[in-house]
Amino acid sequence: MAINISIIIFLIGLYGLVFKKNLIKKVMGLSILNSGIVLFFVSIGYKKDATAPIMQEGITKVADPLPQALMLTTIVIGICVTAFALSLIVKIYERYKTLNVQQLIKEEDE
Amino acid sequence: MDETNIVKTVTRKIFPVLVLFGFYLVSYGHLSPGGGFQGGVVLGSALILLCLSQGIAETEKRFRYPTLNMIKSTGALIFLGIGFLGIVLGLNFLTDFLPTGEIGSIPSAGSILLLNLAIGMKVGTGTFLIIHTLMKFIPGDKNGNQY
Amino acid sequence: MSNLPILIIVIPLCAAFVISIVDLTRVKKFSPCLSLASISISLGLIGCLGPRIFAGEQISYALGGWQIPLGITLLVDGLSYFFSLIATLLMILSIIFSINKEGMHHFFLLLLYVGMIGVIYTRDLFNMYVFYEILAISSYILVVSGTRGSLKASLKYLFLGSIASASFLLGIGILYGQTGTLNLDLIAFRIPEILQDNPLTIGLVASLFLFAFGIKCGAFPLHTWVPDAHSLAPTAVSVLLSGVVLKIGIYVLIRVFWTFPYLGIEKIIMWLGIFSLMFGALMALAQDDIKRLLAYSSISQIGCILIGIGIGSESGLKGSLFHILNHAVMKGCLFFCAGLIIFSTQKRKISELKGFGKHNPLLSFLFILAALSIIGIPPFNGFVSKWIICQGAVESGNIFPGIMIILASIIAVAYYGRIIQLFLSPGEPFQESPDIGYLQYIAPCVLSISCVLLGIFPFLGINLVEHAVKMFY
Repeated sequence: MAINISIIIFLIGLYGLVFKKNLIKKVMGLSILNSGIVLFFVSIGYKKDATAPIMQEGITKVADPLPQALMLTTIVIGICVTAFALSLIVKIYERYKTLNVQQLIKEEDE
Repeated sequence: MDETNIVKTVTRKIFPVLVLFGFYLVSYGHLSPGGGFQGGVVLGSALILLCLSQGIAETEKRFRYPTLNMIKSTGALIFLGIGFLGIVLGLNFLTDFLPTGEIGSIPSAGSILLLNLAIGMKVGTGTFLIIHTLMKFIPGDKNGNQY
Repeated sequence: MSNLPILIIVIPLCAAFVISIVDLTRVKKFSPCLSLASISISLGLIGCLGPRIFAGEQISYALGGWQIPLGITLLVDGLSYFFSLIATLLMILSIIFSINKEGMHHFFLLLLYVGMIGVIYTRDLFNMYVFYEILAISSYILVVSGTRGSLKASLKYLFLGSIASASFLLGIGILYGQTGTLNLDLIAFRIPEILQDNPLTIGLVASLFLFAFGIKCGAFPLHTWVPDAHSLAPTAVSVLLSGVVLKIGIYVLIRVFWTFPYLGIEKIIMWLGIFSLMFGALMALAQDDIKRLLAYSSISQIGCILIGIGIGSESGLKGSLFHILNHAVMKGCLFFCAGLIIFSTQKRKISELKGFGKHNPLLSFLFILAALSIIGIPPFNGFVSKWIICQGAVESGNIFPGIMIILASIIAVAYYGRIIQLFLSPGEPFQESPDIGYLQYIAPCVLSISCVLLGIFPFLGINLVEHAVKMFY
């Protein structure tokens, strides 16, 4: 079930990244895309009736810790890409005074 | 940014508590949910909170850009240095060379504690520097107020 | 001495962070020397590994002492060694070329190098994703230069690269869910049983990987970031992007699709190659900006390499790998020369460069040499690798790719020939140009001498390629 929801979130993010005309909305789509992937990975490590993967006495059934560790790295990478995209957008706005993709393409053709 | 006096005072008082919470998350990374990145982001958020409420000019007087940049690079170099210590001691890169103590106490799980501290240092200053750079270059109006 | 694979990656990383500290102090001007020193140390370490690799040994290294299946391993075999050699040599020349840039530029160049070597050496899929992201983010940052339009080019590259990375990660996730491990060797071991149970999942993973690495290496329908990013980046960065970063996408394609073989994916790769070949050649005919023409020519050559891989036979793979080496050398020389031409005349359009041969004979000579090699004229190296690919095509019974490669070379005569003709014809003299220092000439000279050497003595290159191909056949 969580896997299906994560694929839907991934597709919503992809729609936002591809079809929206405002640059900030595209970056938001990128962020939603990353969240979808994180949810997908974490839900792969799901086991029924398992607890958090921290070692204490008397705990035998733990959820898979590997996807959770991988997703920490993925979230960091997502933050870096979003931060760089936003700083590029700040510079583009300063230069071209618009955030609309159609107008930016029209500027290029002139 | 012109925030009210209530916001300015309360954030100034909350800031040390946030930094303490960040250090707690970083150092208990191997015993409970937390670790280098998570604690580092909380540390960074504490600085960002200060930045948002007091304004970038005030915050910059106390937490200067060159110092934070130096801390950031030092964090990365400490991480790589711990990895090199593994090579110097004859094992592979980044091997656990400290003994694992008893489960549940802080100095256990080998060199993970030191690595977490290094990462916490780097991530905390790093996230604040991202917001600092973005905030400094957003054009404002003549009075110095930012949009 | 057995720590060599990780030292090749970590020493430039340490140097990068030391440069970011040094950049804040008063000894700022030593940063470029530091980066050159660290890459030279890496080149020396790769040289030390050389004799052992050529003797047939495969060097494996477990990070942190954790063995498979718990840990991340690095593996240096013939194929990895070949790619890391190309990456290091181009990197040294790029750093020498951009020795006057500021410290942070060198910081990102070193991070780019770390990402490249990390992807090439690692055996763990998620580690490959992390290093690929380091490579990609550094290249997004490096594309930004003073040229008009480079901000938009970098943003376009960022969006497409992020879609590619997200698809790659999704594929890794599905694969991990099915096999339970992330190590390439263990996955290759467990794939055949999964292929019998549900082949559709493996098909989905294969198409996600093909989509992701099609974007990254600039194959035909997914190439749209290549012309902007390669033409508007600073010159040394264009060389690295065209010469190495596109090829790392092809390296991952070879690794992933040879470790777990799928039936029929080679046909798709071959057809993507044929489309990229013709598309790149035809679009290059219509270009006026010199660097944009070179970028479309890159797409065309990547198509040629994909044809060689898609053929699937030993000659095809050998020709592709040799063409990867040749294209890195030839396109590197062309981009360095183009950068120096733009620097000395301040003109980017080809139509305004009439008579450049008289203005700067050495530069025109190097450019013409590299252009003749990339067309595929016999005494140079482009001819040898294209010949081996065509031979592989004919051997496997499929003559159509061979004809396409010859057709694309004929079209290349048209668009490179136009530049050569404009250089050699007399025109009005150019205005006084800024002086090009001796240091900037080192890179194109070295690369064009290698073009000639590899063409006259092809066994130098084929020797390297033999060791790379040996493990597959």
